[in-house]
Formats: sequence, C-alpha cells, structure tokens
Amino acid sequence: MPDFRSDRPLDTNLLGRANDVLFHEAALLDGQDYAAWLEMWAPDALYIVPTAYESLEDYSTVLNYIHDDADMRRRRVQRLLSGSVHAMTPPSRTLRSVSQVRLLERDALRDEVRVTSSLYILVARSGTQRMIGAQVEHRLRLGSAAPIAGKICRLLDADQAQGDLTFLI
Amino acid sequence: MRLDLDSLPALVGPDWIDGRLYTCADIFEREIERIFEGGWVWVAHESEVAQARSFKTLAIGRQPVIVTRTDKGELVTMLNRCRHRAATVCQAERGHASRFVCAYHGWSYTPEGRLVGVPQPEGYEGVLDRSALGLKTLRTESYGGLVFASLNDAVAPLSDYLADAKPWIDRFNRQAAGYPLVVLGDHRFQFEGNWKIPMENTTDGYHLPVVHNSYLRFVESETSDRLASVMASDELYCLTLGNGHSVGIFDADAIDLDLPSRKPVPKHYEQLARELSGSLPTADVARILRAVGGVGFNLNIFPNIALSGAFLRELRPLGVDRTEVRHIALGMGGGPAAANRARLRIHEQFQGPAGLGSSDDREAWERVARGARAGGDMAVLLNRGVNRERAAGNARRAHATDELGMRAAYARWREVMADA
Repeated sequence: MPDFRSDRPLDTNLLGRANDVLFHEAALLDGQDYAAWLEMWAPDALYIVPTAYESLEDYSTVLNYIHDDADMRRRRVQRLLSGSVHAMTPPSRTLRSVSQVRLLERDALRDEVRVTSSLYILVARSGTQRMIGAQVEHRLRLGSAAPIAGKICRLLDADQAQGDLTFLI
Repeated sequence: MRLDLDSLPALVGPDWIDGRLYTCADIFEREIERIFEGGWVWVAHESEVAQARSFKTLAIGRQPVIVTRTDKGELVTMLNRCRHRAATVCQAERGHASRFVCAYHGWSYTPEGRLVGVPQPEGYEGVLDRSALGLKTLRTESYGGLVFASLNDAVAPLSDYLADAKPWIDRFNRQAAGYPLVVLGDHRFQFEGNWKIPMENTTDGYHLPVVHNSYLRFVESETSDRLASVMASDELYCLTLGNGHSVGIFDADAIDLDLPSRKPVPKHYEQLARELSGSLPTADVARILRAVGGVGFNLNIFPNIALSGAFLRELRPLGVDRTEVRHIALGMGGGPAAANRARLRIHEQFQGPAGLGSSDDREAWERVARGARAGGDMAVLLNRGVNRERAAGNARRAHATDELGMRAAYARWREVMADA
C-alpha cells in the first residue's frame, strides 16, 4: 500500500501523489479487493456515475447510475463481498488504464486537490470482451489515509443502453 | 431457428410455452408485425412532452416515430419519415422544435406534421399536393399520463384495450402525493435475450427472494421485510385485468396510497421527514412520506410496459435475442426537492445496470436466454398456482407468487399471434 500520508510538502510532486492514489484505486478494483477500496473513501464523499455525459453542478437532483454516500457504498460493497451476486457469478474480469491525469485545482485550506483522468476499462466475462471509457474527476485529500473525497465518472456513452456495471467504474 | 408459423397455436399451452418462443427469429418477426405494429404501444409519458413543440423519438416495432405536443396542446405521433425520399426528419431523442426539417432536400414540417416548406418549388408546380404530404400521423390516445400510439388505424380504442388496468393506473399515480407524476430520468441497459423474458419478470413474485437475495440482505430492513413478505403472506394476490394485463400485489398496505397506512413510517425516511417539516404542514408531510416509496404492486400492461412499485419499465425488442430495457424514474412534478431526491436515490439503489437489484435480474434473463437454446421444443413452465387459481368476477385470481400473470400474457400473445 502506498503511503498517501507522506511527509513531503504538498507543493512537491502533487501530481505524482495523485497518480499514486488513482493507480492504487484501479488496482484494488481490478483485484476485486472491494473492502480495501471502501477504506480509501472519506466518510463525507459521494461516488457518482451519472446517466448523462455532460457535467452538472449538482447530481443529487437528477437520476444517476450510482449516487452513493458512505452508507450506500458500504451496502454495495457488502453485497459484492457476499459471494451471492448473480451478476458476478462468474465475476467480470477488468483491466483498467488511468491516463491523462491532470491537476485542476488545489484547495490548500482543506488539503484537497481536484484531479481529472481518462479511464479505460477492458471487461471480460462469459466469452466476450468490451471496452468502457469514462472521464473521471476525483477530489483527493492527499494527506489522508482515506484520500478519496469525491468521485464522478462520466461514461462516454452514459446516455446509451449499458451492459452490466456491477464491477464498479 | 426456422419454424412453420402455422404451428404457432400449438406452441402455447394453458400453463406452459414452447422454449422456441424465446429463440425463433420467425416468431420474432411476426411479433413485430402483429403485436408491436398491430396493437397499442406505449410511446411516452405526458410529462416527457409537456411543453408545446416538445418532442420525443422512438420506434414502434422497427418503425421510427416522433411524438410531439402541438401548440394547441394535443399529442401527435407520426412516422419519422420525410414524404419526399424517406429520410428521418428528426434525429434527436428529445427536444423542442418548431419545424422538423429534412436535411436531405430541406422539406419542412410543423409539430402537427403539416408540410410547410419545399425548397425551389418551381419544379413541383402542378405536381405536389402539399396538404396530402404531411408526416403520416398515427392513432394516439392516452390514459393517466401514459401515451400510446398504434400503427394500426383500425385498432380498438385505448380505453377498451387497457380494460381493468385503468383503476390500477389511477392507483399507481397516487404515489405523486397530489402532484402530477412526472418522468425524472431513466436507466438504460441491454441484455442478450428475448423481450418476453423480462415481460414475465414484473409479474413474477416467486423470483424475489432468490434472484434478489444479495439485495435483500443489504438494504434497509423495512425494504427487505416488505419484499420478503411476498412469499409468506396469504393476503397478497395476482389478478388478471384483461387483454394480457395483470397486477401482482407485494405490499397490501400500499395498494391505495390515499388510505392511511397500517405501518409506522420507515426509519430511513426520518431525515426526509425532518427536511419536509421545515416548509410543509404536517398533513402534507404525512402524505408524501406515505407515497414516496411507491405503490405495493406491479402492474403489467401487455406487451411491453410495467408500472412497478415506484418506476416504469419499458421493453424495446431489438432482435429475437437482444432487448433494451429502460427503467424510468418518476417523481412529484413541482413537489418538494427533498422528496424527489429521495425518489431518485430509491430508484438508483435497485434499478439499472449498476443497481443492486436489476443487475441480478439481467443476469437471470441472460441465463434463461442461454438455457432456452438447449432442448428445442421443451416446455417453459408457467403452472405455479394453477390449482389454487380461481374466478374473481370476470378475472382470475391467484397468489402473488403464482404464474397467473404470465399465463394471462401468453393467452393474449396466442390470440394475437395465431389468428389467421
């Protein structure tokens, strides 16, 4: 596990530290280590996968594929770990590639950065392989053990009919 | 798979169907002609085309159509096909337009479908009768906010077609707590399988504790108790409503939301109650809390929609083994933002490709589609509860977990498909 609580001052290699978090998150999800993934989240964070590609200020007033607070995230992960999810029997295998990581903003007061990235997920299951693309925005608290303070995954084809998305974006 | 279509009546029994109903491409072609292009098909909720000149596009069967609201407030459905050289005249899925302009040669039409513009008309002098060349309009009728259209001009009135489903549509609409019920958004997903597999699913109380085991274990206990009680309770029933429609009750306390509840308000609505209490009188708060979780029944309207608890499910047949499913979220039009936020979060929890419920339904349907490739003419059984089914007036009634609704839907299917 990388150390997100590094003593390095925030203004050195912020991008590298953001990369550490994003790559670690992708590895946990590819490894289906959902329990460890859950621990990466700050308690006040929202995990959102919208049904439209266009960015919105407030996703709480529209329908999303996923709009999880800490409680709903925990239920989702408990279900995934229960071993009785038909949509994951057999499990989808995923391979994620995170690229184009860019720092958009730094909130020194809250020790937060806003980071966008391009996400490609190759999903293999039941003899078929498909590709999912998304623009992802993270808010990260790089000084925290639970660094993910918010995440919005805008699927490239969010407004089109989806295949199964149980494995998490 | 090829099949002699004259043998169709022999493929549907009173309590079983031949498995080839899911897999035979010839049967699918006839379904498109007879069921989707010959009868009433749901095309919109009125709230989706609320404003004058708003429109929505979709297909009835395979035929692209536009649903519009005219300046006079009327709903019109017309073929999305230019009268000149057949190009679609509207490409967007929804929006506002005062004219539909064909991009090929520039012919333009009003929201009523009238042809009003033909560029460079010199060559058409004495040739074109513009008044006869509007977009072809279809029979369009609505009930309780649900808009249906038919490619068949001779189809019986919608009101007759909906039969005894109408009072259940009225009851479904009460979940808006006095506000108009409106569309808030939709979840779209596809699966590899026939459209009739999910048609059965919304009248299938039997599958709830099995397919949704992992959902029931991790949602709020009030929600899981509500759904798990379907198996245990004797007072829960399924009722046929005519023309292949049926209703299945999963929570008798939430059949008529205008009547007081026998149960306490679920704990997970406490925060919503506090938010609403700041700005609304106690009676209004109580009415919203009563309604916010939706009704306690699934209403199946043959062939391809279901009003299910708190949402509307639409099935779009894309091929014999490919179906698009839309789970449409509904809310209180002009109602408190907190109540609609709660409705959205309830929908997201269960529904859609990432939902804790739909994802397992989808998997079960694909397994049915895959399994049905085996065994050729082997039967798919619909006989649960056949011996406890009984007459109830003109209808038939059985337990909520029985397969009565499926038997009713396939009896209608046989009638429409097997007629010479």
